[in-house]
Amino acid sequence: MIALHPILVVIAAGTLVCIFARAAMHKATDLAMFVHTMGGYRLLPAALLTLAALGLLFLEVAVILGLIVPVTRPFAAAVALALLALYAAAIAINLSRGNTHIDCGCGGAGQGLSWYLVARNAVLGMLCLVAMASLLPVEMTAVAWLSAAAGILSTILLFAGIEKLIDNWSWLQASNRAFEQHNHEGHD
Amino acid sequence: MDPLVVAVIVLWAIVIVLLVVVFALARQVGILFERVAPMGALMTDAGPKIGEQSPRFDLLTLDGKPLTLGLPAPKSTLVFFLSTTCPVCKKLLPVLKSLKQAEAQKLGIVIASDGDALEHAEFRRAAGLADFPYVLSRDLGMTYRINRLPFAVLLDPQGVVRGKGLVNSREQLESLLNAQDLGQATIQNWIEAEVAGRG
Repeated sequence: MIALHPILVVIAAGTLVCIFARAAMHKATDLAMFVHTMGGYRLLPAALLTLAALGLLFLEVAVILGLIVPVTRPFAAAVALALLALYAAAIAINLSRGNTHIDCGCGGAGQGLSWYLVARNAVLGMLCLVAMASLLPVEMTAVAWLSAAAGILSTILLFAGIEKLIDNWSWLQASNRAFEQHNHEGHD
Repeated sequence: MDPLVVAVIVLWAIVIVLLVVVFALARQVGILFERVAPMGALMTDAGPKIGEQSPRFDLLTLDGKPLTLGLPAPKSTLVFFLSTTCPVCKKLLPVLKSLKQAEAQKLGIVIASDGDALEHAEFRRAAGLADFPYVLSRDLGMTYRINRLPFAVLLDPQGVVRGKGLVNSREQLESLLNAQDLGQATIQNWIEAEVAGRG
Protein backbone atom coordinates (compact mmCIF):
# COMPACT_ATOMS: atom_id res chain seq x y z
CA MET A 1 0.00 0.00 0.00
CA ILE A 2 1.25 3.47 -0.78
CA ALA A 3 2.38 5.69 2.05
CA LEU A 4 1.32 9.34 2.17
CA HIS A 5 2.27 12.33 4.26
CA PRO A 6 0.20 12.37 7.48
CA ILE A 7 -1.14 15.85 6.69
CA LEU A 8 -2.92 14.52 3.59
CA VAL A 9 -4.31 11.51 5.45
CA VAL A 10 -5.57 13.65 8.35
CA ILE A 11 -7.25 16.07 5.93
CA ALA A 12 -8.97 13.22 4.07
CA ALA A 13 -10.08 11.40 7.23
CA GLY A 14 -11.21 14.61 8.95
CA THR A 15 -13.28 15.71 5.97
CA LEU A 16 -14.93 12.29 5.75
CA VAL A 17 -15.74 12.38 9.47
CA CYS A 18 -17.55 15.70 9.05
CA ILE A 19 -19.44 14.61 5.93
CA PHE A 20 -20.53 11.30 7.46
CA ALA A 21 -21.49 13.08 10.68
CA ARG A 22 -23.85 15.30 8.72
CA ALA A 23 -25.31 12.29 6.91
CA ALA A 24 -25.78 10.32 10.14
CA MET A 25 -27.32 13.33 11.90
CA HIS A 26 -29.78 13.76 9.05
CA LYS A 27 -30.84 10.11 9.33
CA ALA A 28 -30.96 10.02 13.13
CA THR A 29 -33.07 13.18 13.53
CA ASP A 30 -35.77 12.08 11.09
CA LEU A 31 -35.53 8.35 10.62
CA ALA A 32 -39.18 7.99 9.55
CA MET A 33 -38.69 10.49 6.74
CA PHE A 34 -35.45 8.80 5.70
CA VAL A 35 -37.19 5.44 5.52
CA HIS A 36 -39.80 7.02 3.30
CA THR A 37 -37.08 8.58 1.12
CA MET A 38 -35.43 5.16 0.75
CA GLY A 39 -38.79 3.81 -0.40
CA GLY A 40 -38.66 6.36 -3.22
CA TYR A 41 -35.57 4.65 -4.60
CA ARG A 42 -37.65 1.49 -5.22
CA LEU A 43 -34.75 -0.86 -4.57
CA LEU A 44 -35.85 -2.69 -1.42
CA PRO A 45 -39.14 -4.29 -0.35
CA ALA A 46 -41.02 -2.08 2.11
CA ALA A 47 -40.65 -4.61 4.94
CA LEU A 48 -36.86 -4.26 4.89
CA LEU A 49 -36.69 -0.46 4.69
CA THR A 50 -36.57 0.36 8.41
CA LEU A 51 -34.01 -2.35 9.06
CA ALA A 52 -31.84 -1.15 6.17
CA ALA A 53 -32.08 2.48 7.34
CA LEU A 54 -30.95 1.49 10.84
CA GLY A 55 -28.15 -0.59 9.32
CA LEU A 56 -26.91 2.37 7.26
CA LEU A 57 -27.08 4.66 10.27
CA PHE A 58 -25.10 2.14 12.34
CA LEU A 59 -22.45 1.77 9.62
CA GLU A 60 -22.12 5.54 9.29
CA VAL A 61 -21.60 6.00 13.02
CA ALA A 62 -19.06 3.14 12.97
CA VAL A 63 -17.23 4.85 10.09
CA ILE A 64 -17.08 8.14 12.00
CA LEU A 65 -15.65 6.53 15.15
CA GLY A 66 -13.34 4.24 13.16
CA LEU A 67 -11.85 7.11 11.17
CA ILE A 68 -10.96 8.98 14.35
CA VAL A 69 -9.07 6.05 15.96
CA PRO A 70 -5.68 5.65 14.15
CA VAL A 71 -5.60 1.82 14.31
CA THR A 72 -9.00 1.33 12.68
CA ARG A 73 -8.68 4.22 10.18
CA PRO A 74 -7.87 2.12 7.06
CA PHE A 75 -10.76 -0.29 7.73
CA ALA A 76 -13.21 2.52 8.44
CA ALA A 77 -12.12 4.27 5.24
CA ALA A 78 -12.73 1.05 3.30
CA VAL A 79 -16.26 0.77 4.78
CA ALA A 80 -16.84 4.44 3.94
CA LEU A 81 -15.76 3.76 0.35
CA ALA A 82 -18.18 0.81 0.16
CA LEU A 83 -21.06 2.95 1.54
CA LEU A 84 -20.36 5.75 -0.94
CA ALA A 85 -20.22 3.24 -3.80
CA LEU A 86 -23.55 1.76 -2.62
CA TYR A 87 -25.20 5.21 -2.53
CA ALA A 88 -23.76 6.11 -5.92
CA ALA A 89 -25.05 2.84 -7.37
CA ALA A 90 -28.55 3.43 -5.92
CA ILE A 91 -28.57 6.93 -7.43
CA ALA A 92 -27.20 5.74 -10.78
CA ILE A 93 -29.83 2.98 -11.03
CA ASN A 94 -32.63 5.49 -10.47
CA LEU A 95 -31.08 8.00 -12.88
CA SER A 96 -31.01 5.34 -15.60
CA ARG A 97 -34.66 4.49 -14.78
CA GLY A 98 -35.46 8.16 -15.31
CA ASN A 99 -36.74 8.28 -11.74
CA THR A 100 -35.03 11.62 -11.01
CA HIS A 101 -37.75 13.48 -9.16
CA ILE A 102 -37.34 11.68 -5.88
CA ASP A 103 -35.74 13.17 -2.82
CA CYS A 104 -32.07 12.19 -2.76
CA GLY A 105 -32.05 11.92 1.04
CA CYS A 106 -28.52 13.29 1.12
CA GLY A 107 -29.02 16.07 3.63
CA GLY A 108 -29.54 19.03 1.32
CA ALA A 109 -33.01 20.56 1.29
CA GLY A 110 -35.11 18.91 -1.37
CA GLN A 111 -32.54 18.05 -4.00
CA GLY A 112 -33.62 15.72 -6.78
CA LEU A 113 -31.25 13.15 -8.23
CA SER A 114 -28.55 14.12 -10.69
CA TRP A 115 -25.26 12.83 -12.03
CA TYR A 116 -23.62 15.51 -9.92
CA LEU A 117 -24.38 13.37 -6.86
CA VAL A 118 -22.63 10.40 -8.43
CA ALA A 119 -19.62 12.58 -9.25
CA ARG A 120 -19.61 13.91 -5.70
CA ASN A 121 -19.51 10.38 -4.32
CA ALA A 122 -16.63 9.57 -6.68
CA VAL A 123 -14.63 12.51 -5.30
CA LEU A 124 -15.45 11.46 -1.73
CA GLY A 125 -14.37 7.93 -2.70
CA MET A 126 -10.95 9.31 -3.63
CA LEU A 127 -10.76 10.91 -0.19
CA CYS A 128 -11.44 7.43 1.24
CA LEU A 129 -8.52 6.03 -0.72
CA VAL A 130 -6.26 8.73 0.71
CA ALA A 131 -7.57 7.99 4.21
CA MET A 132 -6.75 4.28 3.70
CA ALA A 133 -3.08 4.96 2.94
CA SER A 134 -0.39 4.19 5.47
CA LEU A 135 1.60 7.06 6.96
CA LEU A 136 5.09 8.17 5.98
CA PRO A 137 7.32 8.27 9.08
CA VAL A 138 7.19 12.05 9.36
CA GLU A 139 6.83 13.92 12.60
CA MET A 140 3.68 16.05 12.83
CA THR A 141 4.87 19.47 13.96
CA ALA A 142 2.58 22.21 15.20
CA VAL A 143 2.51 23.79 11.74
CA ALA A 144 1.65 20.42 10.22
CA TRP A 145 -1.36 20.08 12.56
CA LEU A 146 -2.38 23.64 11.75
CA SER A 147 -2.19 22.84 8.02
CA ALA A 148 -4.20 19.67 8.55
CA ALA A 149 -6.93 21.49 10.50
CA ALA A 150 -7.06 24.34 8.00
CA GLY A 151 -7.12 21.79 5.18
CA ILE A 152 -10.16 20.02 6.67
CA LEU A 153 -11.98 23.31 7.16
CA SER A 154 -11.18 24.44 3.60
CA THR A 155 -12.28 21.17 2.01
CA ILE A 156 -15.59 21.23 3.88
CA LEU A 157 -16.23 24.87 2.99
CA LEU A 158 -15.41 24.09 -0.63
CA PHE A 159 -17.89 21.20 -0.61
CA ALA A 160 -20.58 23.35 0.99
CA GLY A 161 -19.99 26.12 -1.57
CA ILE A 162 -20.17 23.76 -4.54
CA GLU A 163 -23.31 22.13 -3.14
CA LYS A 164 -24.94 25.54 -2.79
CA LEU A 165 -24.05 26.44 -6.37
CA ILE A 166 -25.50 23.15 -7.66
CA ASP A 167 -28.64 23.93 -5.67
CA ASN A 168 -28.83 27.36 -7.31
CA TRP A 169 -28.32 25.79 -10.71
CA SER A 170 -31.35 23.55 -10.25
CA TRP A 171 -33.34 26.62 -9.16
CA LEU A 172 -32.26 28.41 -12.31
CA GLN A 173 -33.38 25.48 -14.47
CA ALA A 174 -36.71 25.19 -12.68
CA SER A 175 -37.45 28.89 -13.03
CA ASN A 176 -36.43 28.85 -16.71
CA ARG A 177 -38.87 26.01 -17.36
CA ALA A 178 -41.59 27.71 -15.37
CA PHE A 179 -41.10 30.98 -17.25
CA GLU A 180 -41.23 29.22 -20.61
CA GLN A 181 -44.45 27.51 -19.63
CA HIS A 182 -45.87 30.78 -18.34
CA ASN A 183 -44.99 32.73 -21.50
CA HIS A 184 -46.25 29.92 -23.69
CA GLU A 185 -49.61 29.85 -21.96
CA GLY A 186 -49.80 33.63 -21.96
CA HIS A 187 -49.69 33.74 -25.77
CA ASP A 188 -52.26 31.02 -26.45
CA MET B 1 9.90 32.33 13.41
CA ASP B 2 10.62 30.74 10.06
CA PRO B 3 9.21 33.01 7.32
CA LEU B 4 7.82 29.95 5.54
CA VAL B 5 5.74 29.09 8.60
CA VAL B 6 4.38 32.62 8.75
CA ALA B 7 3.57 32.46 5.04
CA VAL B 8 1.71 29.16 5.45
CA ILE B 9 -0.36 30.52 8.34
CA VAL B 10 -1.24 33.71 6.45
CA LEU B 11 -2.12 31.78 3.29
CA TRP B 12 -4.38 29.34 5.14
CA ALA B 13 -6.16 32.26 6.78
CA ILE B 14 -6.75 33.84 3.38
CA VAL B 15 -7.91 30.57 1.79
CA ILE B 16 -10.46 30.00 4.54
CA VAL B 17 -11.77 33.55 4.40
CA LEU B 18 -12.07 33.30 0.61
CA LEU B 19 -13.98 30.02 0.86
CA VAL B 20 -16.34 31.56 3.41
CA VAL B 21 -16.92 34.42 0.97
CA VAL B 22 -17.62 31.99 -1.91
CA PHE B 23 -20.08 30.06 0.24
CA ALA B 24 -21.82 33.23 1.40
CA LEU B 25 -22.11 34.48 -2.19
CA ALA B 26 -23.57 31.19 -3.37
CA ARG B 27 -26.06 31.30 -0.51
CA GLN B 28 -27.10 34.85 -1.29
CA VAL B 29 -27.61 33.99 -4.96
CA GLY B 30 -29.81 31.10 -3.82
CA ILE B 31 -31.88 33.36 -1.57
CA LEU B 32 -32.31 35.85 -4.41
CA PHE B 33 -33.54 33.06 -6.67
CA GLU B 34 -36.10 32.03 -4.11
CA ARG B 35 -37.31 35.59 -3.63
CA VAL B 36 -37.48 36.98 -7.14
CA ALA B 37 -37.37 34.30 -9.79
CA PRO B 38 -40.12 33.83 -10.64
CA MET B 39 -42.01 36.49 -8.74
CA GLY B 40 -45.15 35.26 -7.10
CA ALA B 41 -46.78 31.90 -7.48
CA LEU B 42 -46.71 31.03 -11.16
CA MET B 43 -50.09 31.08 -12.77
CA THR B 44 -51.36 28.44 -15.09
CA ASP B 45 -54.48 29.43 -16.95
CA ALA B 46 -56.13 26.07 -17.40
CA GLY B 47 -58.87 24.85 -15.07
CA PRO B 48 -61.31 26.99 -13.04
CA LYS B 49 -60.32 30.65 -13.39
CA ILE B 50 -59.58 33.15 -10.65
CA GLY B 51 -62.86 34.69 -9.53
CA GLU B 52 -64.94 31.72 -10.66
CA GLN B 53 -66.86 29.48 -8.32
CA SER B 54 -64.97 26.26 -7.70
CA PRO B 55 -66.80 23.14 -8.89
CA ARG B 56 -68.19 21.19 -5.95
CA PHE B 57 -66.22 18.19 -4.75
CA ASP B 58 -67.52 15.72 -2.20
CA LEU B 59 -64.43 13.94 -0.93
CA LEU B 60 -63.41 11.55 1.80
CA THR B 61 -60.25 12.24 3.78
CA LEU B 62 -57.78 9.47 4.56
CA ASP B 63 -59.39 9.32 8.01
CA GLY B 64 -62.72 8.55 6.34
CA LYS B 65 -64.29 11.94 7.20
CA PRO B 66 -66.36 13.70 4.52
CA LEU B 67 -64.91 16.93 3.12
CA THR B 68 -66.64 19.24 0.68
CA LEU B 69 -64.82 21.81 -1.44
CA GLY B 70 -66.47 24.56 -3.46
CA LEU B 71 -69.31 25.34 -1.06
CA PRO B 72 -69.51 28.31 1.34
CA ALA B 73 -67.39 27.55 4.40
CA PRO B 74 -66.55 29.44 7.62
CA LYS B 75 -63.02 30.27 6.40
CA SER B 76 -60.81 30.32 3.32
CA THR B 77 -59.34 27.04 2.16
CA LEU B 78 -55.88 26.42 0.78
CA VAL B 79 -55.70 23.19 -1.20
CA PHE B 80 -52.10 22.03 -1.44
CA PHE B 81 -51.40 19.43 -4.11
CA LEU B 82 -48.35 17.25 -3.53
CA SER B 83 -46.91 13.89 -4.35
CA THR B 84 -45.05 11.64 -1.96
CA THR B 85 -41.86 11.75 -4.03
CA CYS B 86 -41.52 15.42 -4.97
CA PRO B 87 -38.58 16.96 -3.14
CA VAL B 88 -39.85 20.56 -3.24
CA CYS B 89 -43.17 19.46 -1.70
CA LYS B 90 -41.27 18.10 1.30
CA LYS B 91 -39.40 21.36 1.63
CA LEU B 92 -42.70 23.23 1.88
CA LEU B 93 -44.29 20.98 4.53
CA PRO B 94 -42.80 22.93 7.47
CA VAL B 95 -44.12 26.13 5.84
CA LEU B 96 -47.60 24.60 5.67
CA LYS B 97 -47.39 23.61 9.32
CA SER B 98 -46.40 27.10 10.44
CA LEU B 99 -49.03 28.64 8.16
CA LYS B 100 -51.69 26.40 9.69
CA GLN B 101 -50.73 27.65 13.16
CA ALA B 102 -50.42 31.32 12.21
CA GLU B 103 -53.61 31.54 10.12
CA ALA B 104 -55.76 29.07 12.04
CA GLN B 105 -58.55 31.71 12.39
CA LYS B 106 -58.84 32.54 8.70
CA LEU B 107 -57.50 29.61 6.76
CA GLY B 108 -58.07 25.87 6.54
CA ILE B 109 -55.43 23.82 4.75
CA VAL B 110 -56.27 20.66 2.81
CA ILE B 111 -53.63 18.35 1.37
CA ALA B 112 -54.58 16.76 -1.92
CA SER B 113 -53.01 14.11 -4.09
CA ASP B 114 -53.93 10.92 -5.85
CA GLY B 115 -52.63 7.38 -5.99
CA ASP B 116 -52.29 4.51 -3.59
CA ALA B 117 -54.04 5.17 -0.24
CA LEU B 118 -51.64 2.98 1.75
CA GLU B 119 -48.60 4.75 0.35
CA HIS B 120 -50.14 8.13 1.19
CA ALA B 121 -51.10 7.02 4.70
CA GLU B 122 -47.49 5.98 5.25
CA PHE B 123 -46.19 9.29 3.86
CA ARG B 124 -48.64 11.24 5.97
CA ARG B 125 -47.42 9.48 9.10
CA ALA B 126 -43.73 9.91 8.20
CA ALA B 127 -44.15 13.59 7.37
CA GLY B 128 -46.19 14.36 10.51
CA LEU B 129 -49.24 15.58 8.59
CA ALA B 130 -51.82 13.92 10.84
CA ASP B 131 -53.40 17.32 11.67
CA PHE B 132 -54.22 18.10 8.05
CA PRO B 133 -57.25 16.79 6.17
CA TYR B 134 -55.69 14.65 3.45
CA VAL B 135 -57.71 13.77 0.37
CA LEU B 136 -56.94 11.52 -2.57
CA SER B 137 -58.89 12.47 -5.67
CA ARG B 138 -57.94 12.06 -9.28
CA ASP B 139 -60.98 14.14 -10.20
CA LEU B 140 -59.84 17.16 -8.14
CA GLY B 141 -56.39 17.17 -9.75
CA MET B 142 -57.83 16.75 -13.25
CA THR B 143 -60.38 19.54 -12.81
CA TYR B 144 -57.74 22.00 -11.67
CA ARG B 145 -55.39 20.75 -14.41
CA ILE B 146 -52.55 20.07 -12.02
CA ASN B 147 -49.54 19.06 -14.07
CA ARG B 148 -46.74 20.36 -11.92
CA LEU B 149 -46.18 20.01 -8.19
CA PRO B 150 -46.35 21.45 -5.62
CA PHE B 151 -49.46 23.35 -6.68
CA ALA B 152 -51.77 25.39 -4.48
CA VAL B 153 -55.35 26.62 -4.94
CA LEU B 154 -56.85 29.22 -2.64
CA LEU B 155 -60.64 29.28 -2.18
CA ASP B 156 -62.36 32.11 -0.31
CA PRO B 157 -65.16 31.42 2.23
CA GLN B 158 -67.73 31.53 -0.60
CA GLY B 159 -65.90 28.78 -2.46
CA VAL B 160 -64.61 31.17 -5.16
CA VAL B 161 -61.10 30.59 -6.53
CA ARG B 162 -58.95 33.49 -5.29
CA GLY B 163 -55.53 32.28 -6.32
CA LYS B 164 -53.75 29.30 -7.72
CA GLY B 165 -50.36 28.42 -9.02
CA LEU B 166 -47.20 26.46 -8.87
CA VAL B 167 -45.50 27.13 -5.53
CA ASN B 168 -41.82 26.39 -5.21
CA SER B 169 -41.00 28.34 -2.09
CA ARG B 170 -42.34 29.93 1.05
CA GLU B 171 -42.39 33.28 -0.74
CA GLN B 172 -44.56 31.97 -3.54
CA LEU B 173 -46.97 30.33 -1.14
CA GLU B 174 -47.26 33.58 0.81
CA SER B 175 -47.67 35.56 -2.39
CA LEU B 176 -50.72 33.46 -3.15
CA LEU B 177 -52.25 34.57 0.16
CA ASN B 178 -51.09 38.16 -0.32
CA ALA B 179 -52.65 38.24 -3.78
CA GLN B 180 -56.00 37.79 -2.06
CA ASP B 181 -55.26 40.66 0.31
CA LEU B 182 -54.22 42.92 -2.59
CA GLY B 183 -57.49 42.25 -4.38
CA GLN B 184 -55.62 41.04 -7.45
CA ALA B 185 -55.68 37.51 -8.75
CA THR B 186 -51.91 37.17 -8.94
CA ILE B 187 -48.85 39.18 -8.09
CA GLN B 188 -48.20 39.32 -11.84
CA ASN B 189 -51.60 40.97 -12.39
CA TRP B 190 -50.91 43.39 -9.59
CA ILE B 191 -47.57 44.40 -11.10
CA GLU B 192 -49.17 44.78 -14.52
CA ALA B 193 -51.89 46.97 -13.01
CA GLU B 194 -49.26 49.05 -11.19
CA VAL B 195 -47.18 49.47 -14.35
CA ALA B 196 -50.25 50.34 -16.40
CA GLY B 197 -51.29 52.88 -13.76
CA ARG B 198 -47.93 54.58 -13.98
CA GLY B 199 -47.71 54.47 -17.79
